[in-house]
Amino acid sequence: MKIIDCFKTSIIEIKRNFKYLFMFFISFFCLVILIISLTISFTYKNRINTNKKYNPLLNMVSVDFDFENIKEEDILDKINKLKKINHVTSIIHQKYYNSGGTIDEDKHEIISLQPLSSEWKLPSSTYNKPLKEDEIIIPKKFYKKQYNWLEDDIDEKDIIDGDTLVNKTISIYVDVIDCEKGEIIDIKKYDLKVVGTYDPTPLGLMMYHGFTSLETTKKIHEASLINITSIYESNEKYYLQVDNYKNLNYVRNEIKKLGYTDTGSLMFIMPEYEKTYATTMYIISTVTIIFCIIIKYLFNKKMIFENKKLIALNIVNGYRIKDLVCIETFKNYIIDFISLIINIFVVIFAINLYNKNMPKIVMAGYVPKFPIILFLILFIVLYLIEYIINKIIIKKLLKNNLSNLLNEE
Amino acid sequence: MKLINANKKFILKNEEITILNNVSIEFKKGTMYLITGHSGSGKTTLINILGLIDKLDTGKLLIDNIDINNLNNKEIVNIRKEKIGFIFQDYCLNEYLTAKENIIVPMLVNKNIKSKDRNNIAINLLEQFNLSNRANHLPKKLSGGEKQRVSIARALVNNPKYLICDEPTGALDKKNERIVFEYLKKLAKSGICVIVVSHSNEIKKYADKTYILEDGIISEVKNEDN
Repeated sequence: MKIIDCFKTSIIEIKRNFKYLFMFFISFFCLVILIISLTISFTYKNRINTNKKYNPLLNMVSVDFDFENIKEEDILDKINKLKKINHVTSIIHQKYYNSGGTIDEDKHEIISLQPLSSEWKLPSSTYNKPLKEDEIIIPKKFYKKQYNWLEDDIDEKDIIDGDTLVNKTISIYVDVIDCEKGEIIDIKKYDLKVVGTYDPTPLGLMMYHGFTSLETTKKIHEASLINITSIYESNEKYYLQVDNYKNLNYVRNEIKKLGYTDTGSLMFIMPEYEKTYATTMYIISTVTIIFCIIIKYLFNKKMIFENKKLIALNIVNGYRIKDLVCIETFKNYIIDFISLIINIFVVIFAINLYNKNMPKIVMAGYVPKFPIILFLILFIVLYLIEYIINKIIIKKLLKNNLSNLLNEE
Repeated sequence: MKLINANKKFILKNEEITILNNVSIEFKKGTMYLITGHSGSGKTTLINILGLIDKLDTGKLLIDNIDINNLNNKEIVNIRKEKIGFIFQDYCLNEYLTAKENIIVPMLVNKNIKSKDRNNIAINLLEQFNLSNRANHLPKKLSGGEKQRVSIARALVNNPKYLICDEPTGALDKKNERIVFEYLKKLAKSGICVIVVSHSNEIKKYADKTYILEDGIISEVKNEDN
């Protein structure tokens, strides 16, 4: 039997048999859940993988010393030993790990500065040379305003195209705090030259995260705190920048061999929630697929067994099993196909709604993207599932004697 | 079609039931045969065997001098497709296809019929059975007699030489019964071998030969009505 005849026969029956409407709703409902859950899990999985490769902040291992009982020269000795560990490219004191300041206090504009080791390339970075002092790379979509993500929404107008600031200077203001008195005693201004932009989205960073050299963050931090009390010294850590996520465990082992305390890596903590979320979505997808297959099997079995006499007569008239499977498969596949097409628009709408209602500043870190390849895979997989289900059912039906099928009431 | 020393038995609840006991019978083209007998005598089994839907335990079935026992499954399927047409009591029409579409169904797997000819063949058959104005009607809009005529037309699509009918008028009123038998008689006169299993008395007027199947033995009955 020709494929085109199979197709035409199937279309005619679907149009005229209202029972297939039920199957359409099941198919549509299952596909919506499947596609949205797979989209979210693929996006998270993608982000986890991108983060591993490109996020310098996650590719760090922190080391703790017993600072209360240690001399300064001993600290230097320990740091030198740590520097010699293979795959460690730089060591950052905790104090300098995160600096920041305001860009304009009246406008509530802030910026957060992270040190960037020279060997790290940020995603879609337009500047790939080692950063010099007072140079900064900012996000492509740069949002400077202070933002309470639980209550506020950001105004699209306040998002600046970071590329327009390249080769320009941005000034940040840092409070100088007297740690003994616990007061702000001064405000210092630093001018940083924007040398390039990067995309913070795959790293889950905010739109106000900038990267500077270690020297810059150190300078800004040290100048911002005076009369540092012992409170600040007792919790000190060092962050070892590792050149590749694959070498994190190796570095941790080396730290242990040196007898120091490895206080972990963000790589093992931060993406946990993402892994859990991605895993949950995969579970939802799997459960949906299983549910869909069961329903399809039961529905198709009912439809085929209701028509057993007709099927037997078709066999008598020369139809082969594969012709019958082809007709039944096309009936289901056409319904799935229509559901999938409508789903494209539904999913785009759902994702846009999701994006719209997520706090914008967080959205810099996570934007579910609609994977076209997923649809292409689903088109193929659905046909195969329908084919297998129908083949099983028809073979089960034809285990009965033809004469029994034809003569049954 | 010839049955030679045909035997067929069933085992039902540990009891052996003889359907055919050394039966030999010939069915010639251009003749209308009636096979009758009480309920459960094995008439349906007999015509299933003749229609190559069931197999003999022992004995031979010859169709146009071809011994079916010597054929493989594929050859049996081809003979059945090309030489035999079937008609059932409950019409066996696809309720979601129109009369014309139901007739086209067997043509879809017949490589001897081209796609462009299917429509014309279906329409010609419908005209033969006075159903031209019902071509685009679904079975639920047809009367019992019309449905049975559609099913006869469908059975003739592949130009069979043998037409096997299992209680073709069982669900029809007297008027439609007569109409159907008249058509079957016409087909027999045109050269097709028509074999009818029926309890109807009406058919005796049309059948050229009548057989009764009882206790596994088939015997001819003189047809006084013919």
